[in-house]
Amino acid sequence: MMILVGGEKGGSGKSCLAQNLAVYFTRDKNAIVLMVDCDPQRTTSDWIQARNTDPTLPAINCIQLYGKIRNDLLSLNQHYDYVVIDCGGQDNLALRAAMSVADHVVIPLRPKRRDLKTVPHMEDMLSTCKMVNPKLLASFLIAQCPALPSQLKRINEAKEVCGSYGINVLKAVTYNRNIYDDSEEQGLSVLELDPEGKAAIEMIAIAEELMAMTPDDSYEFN
Amino acid sequence: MSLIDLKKSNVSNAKKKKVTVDEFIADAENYAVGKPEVVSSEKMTLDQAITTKAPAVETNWPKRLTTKPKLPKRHATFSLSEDAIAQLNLLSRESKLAKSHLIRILVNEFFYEEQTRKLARLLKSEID
Repeated sequence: MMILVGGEKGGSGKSCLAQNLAVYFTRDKNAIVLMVDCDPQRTTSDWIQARNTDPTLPAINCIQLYGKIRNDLLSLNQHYDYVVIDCGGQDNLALRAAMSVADHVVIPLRPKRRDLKTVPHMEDMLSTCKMVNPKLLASFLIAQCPALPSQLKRINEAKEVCGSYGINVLKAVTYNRNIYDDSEEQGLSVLELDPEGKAAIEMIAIAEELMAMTPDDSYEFN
Repeated sequence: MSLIDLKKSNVSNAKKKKVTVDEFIADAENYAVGKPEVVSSEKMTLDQAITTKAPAVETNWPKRLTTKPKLPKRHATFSLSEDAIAQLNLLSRESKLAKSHLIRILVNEFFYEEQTRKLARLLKSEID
């Protein structure tokens, strides 16, 4: 299965989500996972490098690919249970090539105007992609939400905005938590640093929601 | 500030143009240079921005002004073929605009065309 974490907006937590999903499938599903880092910033590659210094952690392979990577991904997908692709914050060849073969695409967005303004372009890209990849399941994820109860309205509004474009919006959200940064620096997932913590519960909820989605085979999003 | 104004405002029933996988992927390069052809291709072009802006500017003029202040103009003499003169006469009758006015509009539009298109049109022209 191929899961793409992408989007046009930088800093919305794509690498963090991709890394935590990769650990979830490795640790909780006992799967063989490959991470594909398409971001020239190499955030995920550096994370894997830090991770590989600790032999007690389950190994995850990582490869850097750029450009028209469609055939590479199709080939790699045959050798792994899960291929998790981390695409940097811009619309480029790698993002579209990955989208054209992925089973899932998750687009994290912060509940901020500057992030939500990328939704129309993403929706246009997703619905065009659906014509060439009918199995594609697409979801927006509202990420890095402010934890203050007074900001709940903002989170719900962000979901409403994304939902108005006819693309699925995950019920699960992630909140702004230091543990995401702390775990990344050590090559860990929040699932490993604090398995019972709130961040771990958020990541498991996202993964389980994605896995519970009904497979699709249509040329339009319903 | 509420985010609700960012909700999708118009529901388009327009059918999407069929594209191949390669066209979809390659269009990322067009998008990167601001000229998408497949995704988000309905964005306003430079020409559209110029022509769309013009009426908006006019409507913003103070109400006491019933006509635009006229910029100074001067006579200029150019040679036109009989065909061009006939076409200009016809355009003037149909549009109810003065021939000089029509030429000013055409020159203005032509002037703001992209360099490559301008050159391409000049090179293709069969007018001597």
